[in-house]
Amino acid sequence: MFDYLANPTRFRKITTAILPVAVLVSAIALAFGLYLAFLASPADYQQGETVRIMYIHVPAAWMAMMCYLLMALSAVFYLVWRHPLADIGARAMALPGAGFALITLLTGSFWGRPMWGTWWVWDARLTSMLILFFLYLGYMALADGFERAERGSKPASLLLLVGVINLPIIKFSVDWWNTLHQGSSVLRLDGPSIDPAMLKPLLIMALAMLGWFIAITILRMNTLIMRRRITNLESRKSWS
Amino acid sequence: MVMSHFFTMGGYAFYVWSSWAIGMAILIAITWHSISHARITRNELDALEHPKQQRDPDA
Repeated sequence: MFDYLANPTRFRKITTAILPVAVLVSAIALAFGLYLAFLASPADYQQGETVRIMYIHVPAAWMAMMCYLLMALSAVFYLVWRHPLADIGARAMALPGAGFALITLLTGSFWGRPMWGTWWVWDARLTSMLILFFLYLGYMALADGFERAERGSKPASLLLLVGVINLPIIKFSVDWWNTLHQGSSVLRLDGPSIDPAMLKPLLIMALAMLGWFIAITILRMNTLIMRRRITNLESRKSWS
Repeated sequence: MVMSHFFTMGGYAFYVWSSWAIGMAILIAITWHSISHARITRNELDALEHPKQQRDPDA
């Protein structure tokens, strides 16, 4: 598939077809998700209306982790098959991924304050999520820290692979350690324990974020492809 | 949900609305950054690929 998409013209053709679909899906899901999150779902019996923070907090956390996993897979493709498009993909996903991690941390803080009585606590779940955010920042700094962009690709890809260890730590931190953070209620071996009325807005908001993420990634990948082309043209010019 | 209850969020308005405002602001900022970056890069590439067709920005 990577070989098929490797041709930049073909890549642009396919992605320009996907982009409007992703935007449309995202917009519809967002409208429906907001309706479900604020109007058509009940307040929590313990947490009251603060449960509505969940509908942005939890999908953002899922996206932050999924995005990192995709970047790490791209890093494998890049390191093993040397495919430049895989590297460009990982680079394109870094900023939206960092955005999702930051949203998770900040909305979590605004949820923790009224429910736990604190903005922040250095426990396993919160700290591992903060590390994920720093991994994104570290990746971006490393990938873009060289005069020739491609020189940063290898070390940055290696950082992504090392950082994968953080993903299971985030996921299972609520089981392995004592924490203020509540346990999983959706991705459980015995099925979701969350009420369907709350699961639905969660999933719809996740779909909205996924559509946004796909659109932004396509846009940023095409920008990076253009940027490489500019670099090539300029270096050719300086030689002639 | 009654309208006033919607805005007060059962007394948690500050936390609920701040969360959503910050989250949306981050997504919008990244969208804006990506679009403007794409536009700048496209113009730069066009200028390199078709130097003669470059239009006078003041025209």
